Amino acid sequence: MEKKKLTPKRVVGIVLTAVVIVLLLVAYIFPVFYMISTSLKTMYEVNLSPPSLLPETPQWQNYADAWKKMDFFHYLVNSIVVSVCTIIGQFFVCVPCAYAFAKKEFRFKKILNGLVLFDLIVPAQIIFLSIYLIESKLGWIDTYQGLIVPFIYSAFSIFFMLQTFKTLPDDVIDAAKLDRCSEFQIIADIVVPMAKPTIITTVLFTFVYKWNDYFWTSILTTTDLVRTLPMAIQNLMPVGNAANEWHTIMAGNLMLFAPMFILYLFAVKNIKRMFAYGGIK
Amino acid sequence: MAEKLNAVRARLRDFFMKRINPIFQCPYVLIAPAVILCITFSVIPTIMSIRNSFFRTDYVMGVDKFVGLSNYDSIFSDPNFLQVFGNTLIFTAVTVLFALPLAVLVAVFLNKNTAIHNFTQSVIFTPYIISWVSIAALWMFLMDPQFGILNLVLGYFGIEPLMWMLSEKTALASIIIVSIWKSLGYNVMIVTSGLQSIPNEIYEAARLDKSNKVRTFFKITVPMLSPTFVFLVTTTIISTFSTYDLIKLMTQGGPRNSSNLMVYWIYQTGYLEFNVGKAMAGGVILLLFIGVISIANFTMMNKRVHYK
Repeated sequence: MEKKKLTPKRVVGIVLTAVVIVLLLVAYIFPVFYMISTSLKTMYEVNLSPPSLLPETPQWQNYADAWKKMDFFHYLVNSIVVSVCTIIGQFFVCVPCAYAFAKKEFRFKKILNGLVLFDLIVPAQIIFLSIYLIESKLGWIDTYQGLIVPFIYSAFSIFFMLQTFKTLPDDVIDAAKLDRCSEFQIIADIVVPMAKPTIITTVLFTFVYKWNDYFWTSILTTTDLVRTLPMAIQNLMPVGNAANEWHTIMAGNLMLFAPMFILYLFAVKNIKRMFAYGGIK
Repeated sequence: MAEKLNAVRARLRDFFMKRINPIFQCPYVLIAPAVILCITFSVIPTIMSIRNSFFRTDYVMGVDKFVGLSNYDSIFSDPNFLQVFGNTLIFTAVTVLFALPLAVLVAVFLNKNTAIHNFTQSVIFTPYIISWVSIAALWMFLMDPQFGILNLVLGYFGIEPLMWMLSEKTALASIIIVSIWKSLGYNVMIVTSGLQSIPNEIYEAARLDKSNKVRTFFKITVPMLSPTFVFLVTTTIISTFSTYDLIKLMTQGGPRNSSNLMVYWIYQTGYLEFNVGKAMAGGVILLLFIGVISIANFTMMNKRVHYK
């Protein structure tokens, strides 16, 4: 291919693109940089006006303070319990369901399939009040099961896996049946390994969703007993016009942010792919 | 010893294959857990919402009385509700009309496969996987009227400091800015994948026909992107209609209801004030709205949208 000449028009194009990129990077990197810098300031520096860009000496103990003040460990345990249990539960509920819809023929299949994808049409945020009422009747408010069981069923996870399972070749499954493989073995030894990228993607999606979830934790809990990390940050946040310890809040914020960020660095492609489908939620 | 063990194992396996496996071969057993959970936590709540919107329910007094449309009457004569409904429509309209074209613009500029373009794309996508709580805390800090850096930046341009989410005039706008900031990277990614699915030959043909860039953009890129637009418009509307976290964290609907949106209103009315019937009536109206938009979008998609 011949090299394009630098016409004035092309120069304008390059400059425009550069301006857009710089503006975007400033708009997205600066707030995070400023958050990190604030998390290392002293109370005095935080309340300086105009604010300084960098702390004079980094106050690393802000992180220890935030950890103690938030009771970070308590919420961390809750976050891990809730997200891991939801992932395991989804695995046992959604994988067999998606497999049955993808590879088996039975009566009322269409209706049942439509029913299972119900959540894709009705956003749960709109009917949360009824979900809350049902959970309070079951006595599930402020319990782990209250934050886990309703989310073990996920229309999105089923839909996403169903699409992949449909593309798996039938012959392999039929051959396994002739070899007297049980249904468990077919799912565990054939379907899951063959659909591994999809399964990983779904697990990541559920993890991000549960780790970040603030809505359901705030609705379905009334005490700190089973509340997850986002609630801990909210407890630090200022009410109204009160004097704020922004350095502690930002330190806590970074601790909530870090696991997601590391996950993102390692799995950018996977994460982007799942959100391309997951936009429905 | 080993033989005995093998025999036991074989018998166990036999028992398993004969008695237990057939149960799990039945597709209804495989889908049962998902169906039961779906009915309990999605279908029944939806039906309950619709039913309760026609009832006056008081859990403390044990009242549960059919009242016809009076809940709907009461929300439509409630200026608070009408304001919230208006806010939600403004929030949705601004987000759709501003955020989506912005996303297309950015995507067109970033649609090149070089390291810096990909890096920028990944950077602007990051907030999308961060919790709303982190985002809200960060922006409340940036928008702090006294110490916030945004007012400082505005000052450089000679603009008076703003009160951001503490003033009636700017509260909703603040929410819109944060919400657009968070979702831009996601929208850009969707538009980019739409752009990349347009076959190159069409652009080649346009070039041979000496079509200029602007013309090519409007005559080829935009129509070829229409399925992407429909998807984005639908998902954006559904997500703006169900926005709660930002409102709860940043403004609690205030000052004076100026930044209140539907889902937060349902929360206030039903969860904080225990006015379940009224809250559910609001919820049903929201459901209808989302339903109508989904259906309208769906028909549009079938009729007008360009497919390959």
